[in-house]
Amino acid sequence: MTGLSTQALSMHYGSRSVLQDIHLPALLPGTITALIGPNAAGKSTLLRGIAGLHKAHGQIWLEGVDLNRLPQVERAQQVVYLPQSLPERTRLCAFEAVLSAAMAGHRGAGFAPGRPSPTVLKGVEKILADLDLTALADRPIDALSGGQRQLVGLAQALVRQPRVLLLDEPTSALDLYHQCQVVEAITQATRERNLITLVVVHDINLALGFSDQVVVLHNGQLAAAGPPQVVINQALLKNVYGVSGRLEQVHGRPLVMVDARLPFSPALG
Amino acid sequence: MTQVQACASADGAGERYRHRHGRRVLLLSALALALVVSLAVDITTGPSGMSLTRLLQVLWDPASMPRVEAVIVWNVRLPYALMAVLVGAALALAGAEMQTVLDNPLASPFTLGVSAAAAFGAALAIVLGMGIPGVPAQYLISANAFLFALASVALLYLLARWRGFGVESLVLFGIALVFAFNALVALLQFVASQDSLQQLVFWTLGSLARASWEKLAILAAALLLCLPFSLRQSWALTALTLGEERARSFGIDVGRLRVLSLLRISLLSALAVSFVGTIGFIGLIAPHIARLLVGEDHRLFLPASVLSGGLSMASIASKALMPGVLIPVGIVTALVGIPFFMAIVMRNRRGAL
Repeated sequence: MTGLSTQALSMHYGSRSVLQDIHLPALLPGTITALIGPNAAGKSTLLRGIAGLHKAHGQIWLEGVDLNRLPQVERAQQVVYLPQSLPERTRLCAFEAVLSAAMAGHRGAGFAPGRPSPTVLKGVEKILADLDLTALADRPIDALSGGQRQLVGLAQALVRQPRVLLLDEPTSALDLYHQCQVVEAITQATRERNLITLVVVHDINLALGFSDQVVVLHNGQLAAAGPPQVVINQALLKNVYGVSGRLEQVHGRPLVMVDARLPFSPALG
Repeated sequence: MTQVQACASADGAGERYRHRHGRRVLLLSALALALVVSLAVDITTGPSGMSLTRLLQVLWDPASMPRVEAVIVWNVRLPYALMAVLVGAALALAGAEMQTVLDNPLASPFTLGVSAAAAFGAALAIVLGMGIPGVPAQYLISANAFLFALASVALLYLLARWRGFGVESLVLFGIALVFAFNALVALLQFVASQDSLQQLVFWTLGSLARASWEKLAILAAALLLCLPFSLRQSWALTALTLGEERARSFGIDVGRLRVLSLLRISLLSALAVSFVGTIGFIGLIAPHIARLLVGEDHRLFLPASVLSGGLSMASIASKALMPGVLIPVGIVTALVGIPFFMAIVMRNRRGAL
């Protein structure tokens, strides 16, 4: 089995079932998968389950290995999850933030805190350069804009050299310029590093524009999965999002046009 | 200007980081030096003056000096000054770790009820004579204070382990502890006799006059036991400042980190408070001073907190020694601490807007 897939995955918060029997098709290295669906569909929960931050029943296969059987430390070397929330209260500068991600879990020799090796420092420097952050390396995180903080988060994830990158709404709350910047950085990193990237996206048009594959969650279940232009259609907009709309080609590019909100139906949840 | 820019671009981000880190290590050494100097000032100043050379003579060769001076230095000033440094250091380390693991800049042994719990334990011993059976009379108050301080941190720790109990609720619970124990102490004060009331008030004011070599040894041992374990967790603690979810996704067992840290916090703060009484604000302020000086990389932040805690207490202790009067150090720390506390609150308010 290649790539990342799940089998009969289900998750609960207490007695409340959030995800039921998710069979995620194989997500391949070097591709970006957009995870879409209405609010409270279980998108973030699925990412947290794959990352091992919340108990997920069932199997999560990565290149033939069930991640659920790996100890958390080993799992964190393969999979990195970037939460939606940005760091608020820290005096670390961007360089230190990325360095601490690279050194996290480092126990040091004996009782001395470990010193980062020149290789690690070079690695941090390179990631920051790749993401155009060199000029901001000395700035404290809390002095950076939302978009810049998001990029620093991406640098933290990439410096750990994972095989799977899980991003929770990395472009929400960003202006258009920074949205483009973050999307470009994600695309480039995925292609160059051959990552399996799974991104929660709220903006359907963004998902159409930059993903290779789309997975739709609805009420805790897998509603659809496949190429974006196949999955995102009139029926999906109606049944999952409760709006009437259509997919149009504008200058050769697909675009979702929403016409109206449909009357509320209990089936939509 | 162009030259500066050229310079900045010639050095890579890694090189700039190394330079800054080097500067901060120097700053840390300066802090250590300042601590030694302030300790010397602390010992040489007092009701009877003493020059630095005489002090060194007394320390080096007590037999050759007049007995009075040797007694003053070895039995009064040295334990007093060292106690100030160790208590400051212990409370600062506890405060620094507390602020990181509870992700709250206002967390400290004082603000989360550890000191108040210790005061209640002491009050029980002073007013009602209640204490742990078998403890020698001179340690009854300290042992009681320690037990209650430990119990209060244990309570915080159990809540922290409880799933779904957020950090904010934990801090609110700590504040509730402060009020609860303060009310209980007030109740004991109400029923106390004249004598025990006076003793209790004096205890809660916090005083270094209770210093002794045994207490010093115990506190030093606790500090030496905790600090290496804290330093070993430096990277994990540093990563934790970026948020719990993020730290967990980097493979850090945040629950375990928090529990071990709270154990160290309880030992340090309970011992410090039980030996010298309520010393407010040092555990809150010292980490903030450290953060301003060396940033939040815990490899430097933790030792810097320890040193600035020791330094602030040592300098406050020497100022508390006014001619003829010995103002309890707890009063001085609170008076110096409150403006600082307000400054932190205002700074955070601005950050939130």
